[in-house]
Amino acid sequence: MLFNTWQFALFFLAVYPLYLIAAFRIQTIGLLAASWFFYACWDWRFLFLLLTSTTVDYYIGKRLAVCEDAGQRRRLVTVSIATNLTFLGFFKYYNFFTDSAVGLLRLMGIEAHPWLLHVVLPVGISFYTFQAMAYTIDVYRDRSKTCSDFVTFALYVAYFPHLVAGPIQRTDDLLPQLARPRKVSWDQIGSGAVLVLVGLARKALADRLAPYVDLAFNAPLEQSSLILVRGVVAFALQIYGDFAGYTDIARGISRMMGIELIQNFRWPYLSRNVQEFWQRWHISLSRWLRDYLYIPLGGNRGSRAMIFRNLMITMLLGGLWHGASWNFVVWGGIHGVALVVHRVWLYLLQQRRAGREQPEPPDRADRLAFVASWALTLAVVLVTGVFFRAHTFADAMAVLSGIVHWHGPLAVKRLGGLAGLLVALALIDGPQVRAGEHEACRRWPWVLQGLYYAFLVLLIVMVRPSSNAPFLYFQF
Amino acid sequence: MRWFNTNLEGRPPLPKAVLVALATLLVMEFGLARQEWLWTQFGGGGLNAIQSRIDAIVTPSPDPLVVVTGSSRLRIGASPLQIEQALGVPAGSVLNLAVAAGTPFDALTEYRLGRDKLRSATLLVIGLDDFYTNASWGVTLCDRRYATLDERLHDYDPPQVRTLLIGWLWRTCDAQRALQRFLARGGRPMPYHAELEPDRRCRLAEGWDKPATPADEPKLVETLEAFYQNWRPGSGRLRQLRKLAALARSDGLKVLVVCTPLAPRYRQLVHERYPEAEAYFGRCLEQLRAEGLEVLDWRDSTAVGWPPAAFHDYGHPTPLGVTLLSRMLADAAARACPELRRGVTPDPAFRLPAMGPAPADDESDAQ
Repeated sequence: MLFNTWQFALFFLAVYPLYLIAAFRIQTIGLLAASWFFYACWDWRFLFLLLTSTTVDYYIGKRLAVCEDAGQRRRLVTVSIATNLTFLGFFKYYNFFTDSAVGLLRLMGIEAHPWLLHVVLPVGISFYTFQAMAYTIDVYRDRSKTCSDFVTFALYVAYFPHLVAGPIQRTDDLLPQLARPRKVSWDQIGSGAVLVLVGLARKALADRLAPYVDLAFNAPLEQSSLILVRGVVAFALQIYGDFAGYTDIARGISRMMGIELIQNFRWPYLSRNVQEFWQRWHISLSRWLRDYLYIPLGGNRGSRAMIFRNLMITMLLGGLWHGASWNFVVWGGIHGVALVVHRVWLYLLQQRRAGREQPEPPDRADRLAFVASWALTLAVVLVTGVFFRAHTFADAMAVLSGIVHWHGPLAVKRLGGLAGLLVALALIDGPQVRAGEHEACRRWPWVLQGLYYAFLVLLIVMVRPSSNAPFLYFQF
Repeated sequence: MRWFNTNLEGRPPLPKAVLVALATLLVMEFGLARQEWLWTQFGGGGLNAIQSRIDAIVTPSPDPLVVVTGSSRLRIGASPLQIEQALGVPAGSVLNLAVAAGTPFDALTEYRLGRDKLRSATLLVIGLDDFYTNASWGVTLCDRRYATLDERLHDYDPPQVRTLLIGWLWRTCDAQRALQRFLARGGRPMPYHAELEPDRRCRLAEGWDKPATPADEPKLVETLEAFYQNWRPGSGRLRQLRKLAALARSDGLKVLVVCTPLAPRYRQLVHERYPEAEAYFGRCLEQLRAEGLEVLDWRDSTAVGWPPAAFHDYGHPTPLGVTLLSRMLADAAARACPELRRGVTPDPAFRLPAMGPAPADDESDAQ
């Protein structure tokens, strides 16, 4: 049940009125039932996986609340992490690691015939396992209180707006909202509906970009350089429109129910360095990786070499989180290297400025550096995107090589469609960037607001392909 | 335990912005999407092709005898001049109204639009392509423009019914393609014409006369996957075909349903990759026969004696294929309606014409 389908619209129209009139306890139980039903619509068999993960983490959370012994607390949290990672590892990475091991053995001259399984990836598993793990780790660290109500905790894991593709919430952000009675204001309904509308428009634009991307990536050797460049740029816009659009819809629906989810994107393609990019792109994942991986690894403490090691490990695992493929590892690896290079650059800059007494006012060279750093960051993001999207490493190299060794006609006319969609995306994001907030249009005069809403509706109608493409991040 | 509570805070504000948005959408709906000129001037694709066939072929025809409808395989493959010569009927009495990606509903629409003239014909040939039993295919602009509410409810497959019902209620959705063209062309109307070859087939694509080679295999596979992707059995297009046949029969025409020959390799691929679809189509043809329709299943090109050189691709004929298909159609027409053999002297000066490029607008608009 995708957010942009009539099935979901009917589901929400059935759930929402009841949500608004139900007493708190009934509301929570109903919302949990709706969330489980929502998940079961994908594949009811995986509901048992969700339930197991929920039950294990709930009881470990309860045990952690009463357990004083440090060793036992560590063992408990280890069980929670191991359970979730076992689920994730088996369903997502079993075949990947088996295949990779076979390849490695073959290189060593050993033929192996392991037991390969046709494992289907349960939708949202990467998100809800992280969500559940965050809870037990936070309780273990005494950063969050234990949830004493199973229904509330189960809702925390399964809450349908964020169940299948995030945003991954901090325990302290979501759990208290679910545990206390919820009131919904008309303003929340209005701004939530606007977010949903913006999200649907972004998603429609992303789906329109798909043919450009598919053409470039499905057979890169047959395409001209211009088509490849168009495909690479289109993919950057597609994945942004798709994922940011999904998040907008999730946040909008949630806000209409009086529950705030965190902002997951803040115009990432305006970043001027890779570090800033990760503060603007998939913010909830970046934050999770920082809090539960980077910092426990040592974070910014220790020598520069240790910091660089921590960065690389975090980004490589972050890459692998996205999918069981070496392409994602390469993608994470390049981002890791870019982050390290950025740290070195900052260090050198710091050294250079150390001798000066007062910072100099910005001059023309600074403005040029501003543009250059933005362009360089965008280039890194576009190049890494090739590894993210390509089916194989060879395909990714074929795309990059096809661009570097320029060939084919320079038919600029073929960029017209992409340019049109880029303008449409800019019309959605532009006002937000200008105002620095996602609901900028809510502050406009009502006539202008009305025209903008009509524009968004018409944009959806005009660009929406006939069939609904699944959200790209559902596969992760 | 309490069951109900009021969870809404405050009084609802007057949604002025929403009212402005609704007003804007209503202006769009009635000022643009429901305007006839938008559809006629910016329809393009199938709509343009259909209207131009009526204006350039049906209207000037003095006395139509054989009417051919269908998709690009017949649009390219059925030469009115060659059929006329083979039958010995007067020039201008065989009309080829087939359009690129033409569905049975396109043919039904053509028949309805030109019914005053076409009802005096003797034979209606309806081309039926195998992939139209794939319910995953989208609806065309022609469906969106001409299908009545009753047809939208009954003559399409379930996903298409939903799309078409939304479009019936909210015409702006139906007019998506026309609106896109209107914007993309800055309000300049689409070219509107039917460019015909000297033998009165429609204009053909560049290079169409070259036979397919083994190197074209990837393209063949691509075409196959485009036709059969997400295959689900559908009977909507067959219901439209039955409707057309019934209408033509009520006007006194004989009806032939024709499945044109397919390249052997393409058929093999269909058989290997989509056996279920192939079997389903076979059952559909049997059902049409059982209902009393004459169905000529020529898909097996070897059985009907076509050499590989007769195919430009999966099913579009080369000039050799055009001659073969036109002859087969003439024979079938004469068998179905013996009165069609008139013995008019053929035009000895007739040669297969040199072909130019097809107009870019005359493409499928299946969405």
